[in-house]
Amino acid sequence: MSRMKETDYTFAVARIRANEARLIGASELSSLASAPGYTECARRLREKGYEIEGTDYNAALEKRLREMWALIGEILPDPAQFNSILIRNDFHNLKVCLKALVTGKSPEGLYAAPCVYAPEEIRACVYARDNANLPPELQHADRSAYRILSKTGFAQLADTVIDRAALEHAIEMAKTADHPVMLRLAQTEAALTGIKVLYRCIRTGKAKSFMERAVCANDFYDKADIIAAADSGMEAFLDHVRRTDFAAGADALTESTAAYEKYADDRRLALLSAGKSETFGISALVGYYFAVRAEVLDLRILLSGKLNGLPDDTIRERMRMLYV
Amino acid sequence: MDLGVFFIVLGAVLAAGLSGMGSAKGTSLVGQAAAGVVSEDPSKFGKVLILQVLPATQGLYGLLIAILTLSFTGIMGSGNVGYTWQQGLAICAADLPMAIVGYFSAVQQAKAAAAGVGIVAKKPNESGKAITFAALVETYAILALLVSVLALNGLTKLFA
Repeated sequence: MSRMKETDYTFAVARIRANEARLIGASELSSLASAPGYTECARRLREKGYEIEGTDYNAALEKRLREMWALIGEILPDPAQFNSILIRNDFHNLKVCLKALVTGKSPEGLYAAPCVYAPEEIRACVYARDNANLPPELQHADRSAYRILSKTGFAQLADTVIDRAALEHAIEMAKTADHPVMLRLAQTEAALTGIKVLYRCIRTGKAKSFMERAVCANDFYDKADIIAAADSGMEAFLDHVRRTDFAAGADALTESTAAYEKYADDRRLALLSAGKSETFGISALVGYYFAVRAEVLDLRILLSGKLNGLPDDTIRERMRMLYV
Repeated sequence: MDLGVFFIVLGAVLAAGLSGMGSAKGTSLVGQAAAGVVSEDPSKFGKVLILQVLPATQGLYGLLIAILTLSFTGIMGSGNVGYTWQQGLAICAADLPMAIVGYFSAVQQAKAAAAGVGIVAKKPNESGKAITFAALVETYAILALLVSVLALNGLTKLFA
């Protein structure tokens, strides 16, 4: 990975600024949520460039995500600088391939994009059990998860091992990327995921040893302490989370896991909001990447809600914070 | 050639050279930002061009000081260049405000102008504010120009 100067991103940031003008703002989204029905909503979105046909809005939203990544891929001075964000999709693709191998089902249509390595390459190596030719970051997780799946069939543990490896590699890659925002993002991701995983572990009565394998160490809290709290029960765990930087996350968890997902998405986007005023550096690009993802997620919630006749207030409650 | 002439020419070269370097660096930086915006929306060319031109002025100020230095001292023109090394060094020092401030103000102004390009990209109607922010940095280049002109004028009269 080549070392980049902040000013190397000047052209890219300016292009992103021009594209940010086309993002849907909070007031516009609120107005969309008040639109009378799905048809009107889809019509307004078509005016914004979303090619929604009938009730199939997924293709238009997926296209928006592809266009966003095509733009970032084109203007990034060194695409490897984004690897710490994309590598999680590679681990997801590894998980998909391993499960497909074990269950005999096709992994097609389940791959996550964008990613660092071509899913077909990962699939070929996983199917041939050619661990040595897998990308180096995936090799250890592949060996561990395959051993678990083939010997015990415990898919949840295999998933957990892969997810933790993904977070650890994201942090390592963010350290080499030399952009503080990347490291903050990777650390925040690990912390947010750790809390969610432990909450689920308590709800499903998982053993401490499982928790230890599932949680990725991060800078926000001590792994041993939070696992000890989780092992003592839900109240002790939530009290512990309230003493960390994620106190609002504990309140969201008491509400529902969906509320926590919303909190996590909003927290991630708030972390990147500083990039809105930066003229140089990678922050604006990372911000735009997550901004479009947040917009697409909100539109998915909105359109699906409208299609299913949900009340406007319920739709608004579920919507994420927007970047602009 | 005596040492007095060497210092006078050195001052002129520094004024034109450093200010020119700053302007080249600055216009390049704003040019990259401007190209980013124009590639998405060519109609904004006029507005971003103004911002790109702003850090170019320091190079012109540096050139002006170089010409004045060579002209006042007679190196360019009369040919009467009987300056001691101390006098040459003093004239060289008179060129330094423009050389140093010219370089740094051009680079810093470029950063402000590149940020202004971002304003033009998102809110074209606010381009006047973007230009104002960047133009304010120009004040210090103008002050340096003034100091160099006054010092040159005074010294050449003193040494005449």
